This record gives sequence, C-alpha cells and structure tokens, in this order.
Amino acid sequence: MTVLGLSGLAGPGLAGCTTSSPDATPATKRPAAPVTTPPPPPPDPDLPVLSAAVESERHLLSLYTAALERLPDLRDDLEEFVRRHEEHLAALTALVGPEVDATAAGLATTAPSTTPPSRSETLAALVAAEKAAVTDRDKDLRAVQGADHARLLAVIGACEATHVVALDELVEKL
Amino acid sequence: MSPRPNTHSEIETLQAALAGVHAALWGYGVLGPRLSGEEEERGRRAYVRYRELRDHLVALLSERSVEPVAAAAGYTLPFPVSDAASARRLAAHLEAGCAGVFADLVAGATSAKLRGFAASTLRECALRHLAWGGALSAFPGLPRPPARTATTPTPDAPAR
Repeated sequence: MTVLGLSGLAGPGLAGCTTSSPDATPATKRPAAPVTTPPPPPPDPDLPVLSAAVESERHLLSLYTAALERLPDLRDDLEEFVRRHEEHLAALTALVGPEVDATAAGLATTAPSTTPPSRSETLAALVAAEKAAVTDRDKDLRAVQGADHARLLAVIGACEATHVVALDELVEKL
Repeated sequence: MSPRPNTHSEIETLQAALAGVHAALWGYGVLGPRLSGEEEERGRRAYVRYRELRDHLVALLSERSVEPVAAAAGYTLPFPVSDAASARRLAAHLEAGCAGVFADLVAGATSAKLRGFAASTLRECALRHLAWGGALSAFPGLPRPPARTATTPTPDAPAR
C-alpha cells in the first residue's frame, strides 16, 4: 500500500541549492597561478529578475502598511498577508542581498503608494496589486534560468493568487 | 527562458507529478461520496481536472519514450474519512501534496512550456487547497520556508 502522503520530492532548501551549470566552476578550484586575488565569480544572470521580485514584494508591503494605517480595524485580517509577503521578501533577499534597489535592477522606480480613501477602495487596491504581482511572477518565470529560482518564484506567485481570492472574500465579508 | 540543468531531472519530476495525480484521483474518488451540493460538484470538477492532468502527464512521458508510472494498487488514507468535514480535509491534503509535486516540476522542467504548465497547475492546486478550507501559506507546495537555508554559497547565489 502506498501512503497517501503527497509531499513534494525531498530535497534541499530552495534558495541555496540551485545546481551549478557546467561552466560555473568556482574560480578557487582552478590550478594555482601567480595571481593572489581570484577573479570574482560571474554575476548571477537571474539577479535582475530576482531583484525585480524583491522590489515587487517591497511595493506590496508598502501598500499593506498604508492600508493598515488607514484601516487599523482590519489589522487582524491583514497582518497575515503582511507576514507572508515578509517571508517572500526574506527568501528573495537571501538570494540577492539586502542592498538591491529598483534602479540597480534596471527597473523603473516604484511610484509612491497612495492609499485610496474608502475601505472598499483600499481593499480593491490591494486586490489589484496582488493580481499584478501574480502577472509579474508569470513574467519572471519566463525570464529566470535557475531551476530553484523558478520554483521559488512560482510558489510565491501561487501564494499571491490565493491572496487575491482571500482578499475578495474579505471584501464580501465586510 | 533557457532553464539550466538541475538536480531534479525532468523525467523524475514528471513521474512524481503523475504519481501524485494518481493518488489525488484515488483520494477524490474516496472523498466525493461524502460531499453534497456545491461541494460535491466542486469535488467532481477536481476529479475531472485530475483525469485531464493524468492524461497530459502520461502523454508528456510517452513523448519522452518513458513508461509512465502506474497508479498504486492501493493507498493509505492519512486519517479516516467519514463525513463532509474529513472529506474536505482530505481534499485540502491532496491539493497541498499536489502543489508540492508541481512545484518540483517547475524546477525540473527543461522547457518554458513545461515550466509554465507546472506553475499554472501549482497555482490551481493552491487555489483548490484554499477552497477546501486549507490555510493560506506563504510558500504553497514547499515543506518549509526557503529563507532559512539560503546561506550556502553557490555559483548562482554567491554568499554576501
């Protein structure tokens, strides 16, 4: 009998285990040469995509922060959304480092967030932002090369898709 | 997109996805009769969807000259399913598991088309998991958050 445990393939954690490509042998393993400083490793080709995802998560968090300031009575409902985006940001930042900004990633600077005045408009703005994030993760998936980077971005996109549904349900409840 | 080779081979993750879909089909067959009304219909739709996924995955493996993994002769339920509540819980359990195998298929895919299919199916699973009352997760399909393990230097993600 097969146990109906459908957990994914056991494997190392996502972010740090992307398989090396054949041409990515670390410079430190080359034969000794009369050069004291090894050349830096080539930049990760996924860095622009991952950096854009970092900025996307920061933008979403700024929208939630603004929404919570305007609608403090929704704190209990929205805090878990914030926590999940913070987890996304932490996972992505672990890959690209904390200093990435939109300009460095070759992106347009995110416009300052403006929170619409009414409760329904505020929540609608969050829904729209989550939908846009799902679309962005789809684009990221078409551009990213690393297998584990792709999985992380797909999983984050799936979470953001569930956020759209959950926020819609919250709107209906209010 | 030009996916790089990885530790999860495409065939391995396709087979794992198919095995998960086989189990989900069996599970929905068990839980469906415990549901009624709108939920019964939702269970039926999920069952039909998993049949489509099974056929698609079988075709993908056959195209690669690989014998598709067969369904197991039997499965063990993770808990008794005796009423609508436990049926919903099993459905959520199945969807969480299938989200995992399709997340792995995203990593295993060597073409943009297969990666896109895997990602959209992962999303479907996450949405059905939520519809069945499953808890929202920051990383649907992953057994644990990835950030805690992200410090290992690799050629793709140098230590900072």
